[in-house]
Amino acid sequence: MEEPMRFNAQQWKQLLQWQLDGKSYQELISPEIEGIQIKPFYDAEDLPKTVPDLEHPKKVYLQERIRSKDDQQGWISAQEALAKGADNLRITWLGSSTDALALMNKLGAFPVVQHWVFYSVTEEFIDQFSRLSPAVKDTVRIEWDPLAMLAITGNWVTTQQNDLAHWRQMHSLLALDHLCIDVSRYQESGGSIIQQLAYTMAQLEVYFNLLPEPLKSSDQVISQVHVYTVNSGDYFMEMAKIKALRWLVVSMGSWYGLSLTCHVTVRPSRRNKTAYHTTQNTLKSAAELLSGLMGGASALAPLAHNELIQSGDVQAQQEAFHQLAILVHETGLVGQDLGAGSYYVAYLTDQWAQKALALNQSIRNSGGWIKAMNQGIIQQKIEQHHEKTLKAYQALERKQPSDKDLDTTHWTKSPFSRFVPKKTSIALLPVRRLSEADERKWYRL
Amino acid sequence: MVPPVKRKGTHDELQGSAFVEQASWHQGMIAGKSPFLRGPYLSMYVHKPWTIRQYAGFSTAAQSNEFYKKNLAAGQTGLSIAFDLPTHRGYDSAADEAVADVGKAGVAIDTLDDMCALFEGIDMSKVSVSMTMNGAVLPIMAFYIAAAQRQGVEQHQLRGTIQNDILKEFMVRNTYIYPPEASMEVVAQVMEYCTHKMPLFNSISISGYHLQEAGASTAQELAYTLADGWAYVRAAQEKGLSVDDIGPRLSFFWGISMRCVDELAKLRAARVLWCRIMKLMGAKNEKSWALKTHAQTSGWSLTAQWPKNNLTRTAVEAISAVLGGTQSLHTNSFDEALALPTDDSARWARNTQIYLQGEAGLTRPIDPLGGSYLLEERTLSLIDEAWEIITEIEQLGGMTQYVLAGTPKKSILKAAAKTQAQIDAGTYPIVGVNAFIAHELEKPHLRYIHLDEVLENQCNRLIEHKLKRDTALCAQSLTALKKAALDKKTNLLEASVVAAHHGATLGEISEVLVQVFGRYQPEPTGVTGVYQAELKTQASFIRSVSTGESWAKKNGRKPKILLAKMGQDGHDRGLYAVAAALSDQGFDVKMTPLFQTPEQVGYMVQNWGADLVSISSMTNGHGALVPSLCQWLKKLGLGHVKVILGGIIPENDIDSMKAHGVDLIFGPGTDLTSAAQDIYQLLNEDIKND
Repeated sequence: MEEPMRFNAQQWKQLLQWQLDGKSYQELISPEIEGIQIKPFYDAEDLPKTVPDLEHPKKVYLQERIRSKDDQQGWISAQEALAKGADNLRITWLGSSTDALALMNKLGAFPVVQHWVFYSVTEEFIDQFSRLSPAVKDTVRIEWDPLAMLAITGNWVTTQQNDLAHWRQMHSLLALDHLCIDVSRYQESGGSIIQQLAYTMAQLEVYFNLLPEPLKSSDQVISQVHVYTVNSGDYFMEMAKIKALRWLVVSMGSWYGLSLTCHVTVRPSRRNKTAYHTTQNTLKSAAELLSGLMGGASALAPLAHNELIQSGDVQAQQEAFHQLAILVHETGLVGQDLGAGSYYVAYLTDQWAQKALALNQSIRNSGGWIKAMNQGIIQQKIEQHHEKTLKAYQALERKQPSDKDLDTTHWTKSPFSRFVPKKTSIALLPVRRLSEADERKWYRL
Repeated sequence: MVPPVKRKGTHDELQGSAFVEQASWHQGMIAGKSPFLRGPYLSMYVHKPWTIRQYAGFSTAAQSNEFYKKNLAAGQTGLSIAFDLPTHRGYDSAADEAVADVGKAGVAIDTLDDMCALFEGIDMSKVSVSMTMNGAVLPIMAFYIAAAQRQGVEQHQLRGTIQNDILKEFMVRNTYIYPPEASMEVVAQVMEYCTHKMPLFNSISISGYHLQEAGASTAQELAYTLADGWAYVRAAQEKGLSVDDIGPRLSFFWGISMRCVDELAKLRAARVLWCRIMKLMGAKNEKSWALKTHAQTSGWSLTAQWPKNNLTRTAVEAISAVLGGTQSLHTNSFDEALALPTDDSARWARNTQIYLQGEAGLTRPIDPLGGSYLLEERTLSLIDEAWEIITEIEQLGGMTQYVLAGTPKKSILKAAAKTQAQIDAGTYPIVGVNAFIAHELEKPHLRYIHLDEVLENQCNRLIEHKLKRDTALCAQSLTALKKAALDKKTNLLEASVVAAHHGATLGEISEVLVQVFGRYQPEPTGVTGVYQAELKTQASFIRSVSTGESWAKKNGRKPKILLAKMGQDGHDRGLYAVAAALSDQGFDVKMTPLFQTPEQVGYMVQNWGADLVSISSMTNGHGALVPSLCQWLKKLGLGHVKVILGGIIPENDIDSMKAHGVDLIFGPGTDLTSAAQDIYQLLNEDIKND
């Protein structure tokens, strides 16, 4: 093969300039998005000094989400999920944690990861969980994340002191090898990628500082961190976000003497989804989940195209689940890190990690995550970023859908956030959808 | 908990390693410069995004015209015309051979007036138009040029592409008219004409899409397509054109499947290899070295089961196409496997691209995955694999000879049969078909078009047209065209344009050339043993083989099944897969040539003594053809012969097909071991259990 022509960045830039015929190279640089500007091209000169040594998971789970408060209902939902082919269940338990144990035990007989999300964890649960067989316990992940609940509801489960003490006690008594957190609300409330990453780190640091000492110095207290998050918008930026997240968590672990694996579950964000033209939501979700997969997600979680306006639409939920299955089983991308070595992806990942570290440092210097939330700083920063992106969104041309497309007769729930007057100890982080203001106007609601 | 070491919060605390350049073969390569690994243009989508070019066309020119205008108003930036099968095969709508297929797989174009109606209200000087036409390229190009002239647009202003890729027709798509050598002459003359008179028009779109749809592997699609391109450039050179005359105006067309890494690598490898080929052919102009391409998401990957799953598949494939660097893109509608797209499904297909260009941010930067270890490694391996095949082809005399020998067709059929076997074995998962199967509660609303009216409409238009034209002038122009074909002193397209202006129909232009060149009708070929290799340990396969042995023992021979294609439908991937599968499961399989009439099939059943006849219908021709076949079977005293229908059969048609005499109907995604067992049961043979 004839020797190809090779150019450095400066030469490419000059060639571009020449081709643009009077236009400036600067005009090809994007306006600021998520705090950075994107150049027209990236090459080996843009590679960062350090890149993460993280392999993509060899298996990616298909997660089904269940909400239940009793064993019977939960079992029915779980069976439906298993029949679909789910191998990972995110069970949000609305009842007493003690009542979950029977279902937990039943599910332990199936080849499925049970990821339990509790609003509270009783002492009885802690006591009885310990008595489950190792085989069952191996399949269980416990997510009791009072910090996430504080962000979402504005309140501690009980009090700050009690919740943190209880969390520490739970981890100690259950001897959990994992730590699970939910950071989805940062994005869905309008946070930038850097904010999402920095606040995730800060949230994790609270827990890391609470972790009990291991029984033996050679033991590790935890070996896994499970992060539940959402993807949206810009394909490569979101891909790099997941890469950066995994990189940051593993690095953080090393600061605490922990050798961690970071497992990320990605769900499509609700922030950019609409109540009308819901088929469009399917397209967006496909790209968002794919970017998560390419970023190294360990599990994908579904979002039905009409979830904002309909509950329990079995067909839509099946389609949403099929979407995960297609991405995992038809693309051939599981275990394949297409982003590794890519100049642009490496650049973005490094940018996110650096900037998140810097922001996280400033949170730490100001007293940490809890203090920042108590003072409303995190909420304020997220809201500011939301306003900025909302302004950009509203500057785009948005056509009002036809009357047929604005039909609400099939709605079983409202897509609009409701203000529920309730005393909260801090300002909470609501879900802020970009199209909500338009929809309120168009639907006249 | 041991508190962490006091942190500086700096970048240096991130665990990782120094970047290690794993492979440097691609380093320093940029978009817009040889060998164009990262794209054919310096600035790619950063300066101008890819063109959204949705392939469409159905029923009459007037209806298609409305559809095009709506799409252009909704943000589509170029037109891509789909013609119906009679048009492809050079038949007017009123021809006996055309009856079952008029207006179904695309728009029916019989005359210059039809072409004018197709572009009514669309400024042909402003809109770039891609036309998928190969066999009947001469009348269609002639009508296009003449229609533009009627609008006052000169041909040197016209922008767009004509597919004109006849070699792949002989390999897979089957809308050829004339034999291979004559067809290559037509291709070359069209290229010659366009080079001299239509500088903004791409005279050929060398297509890999159809090879992929027919089952070609990535390396096969890549190698055969580039080898086709090499053959066309050679043909142009034989016409006295220099490689740099033709080079800048060549374009390509790739299919994009769910094999993401392969597809990304394929588009990059294609650019590198084409650059190499063009330099070997002596091209000096950089624009000749750069491969420009259109892409289309895979139709084959779409499923009839859970059709809304296809929204995800199309989105994934579109992302691959864009990251691979396509210049224009068609995204399939989710219901493409079932029917013509509705307005809604067409909108969502188009919106997929609008979303990727906008919110998903895929227009920047240039070649975002450049440097990826996996991608660059796969690109290099594909370059090597494909080059080995291309070298072999060149050593055997070039692609025209290779195609004539039937080698690529056989290789593709083998690959397709293997894929089908893997699907049936479950080792090639397709969600909703052989994996994650679930009961569908509701089916989407599909578009049904009453196409009998189209046939009537076109026939009436033809009658009116023939009445109003100057018959003498028309006849003269057709005589001149025939002379041009015989003595090669006048360019065939030039002569066709004259004929178009004088009212010659598409069928008349094509028929004149058939008189000179003949109409090509190859014998079918097939593969055996491939299916068995993948499924030999599967219980269902073993059952079928055992049942077949039992039947053969009782009857002294294997059951005979005739696989038939009627009408102008040339899609034969499914047919060959069925042939391969049934051969390996104990049937004596014979295939009819393509384009048979019901009468011809009836006589073949009789002459061979078939026990079963199975009709494949992929383009909605079954409505007219199957009842006619059933009548012929009755007429010939063959009422005992079992009739099977397979392909894309709308649910609305199932009852009527059964009422006409069809015994079994198989839709897309049928497991061929289950199908074999159903067929044995039809022959009153109990299925053998182990």
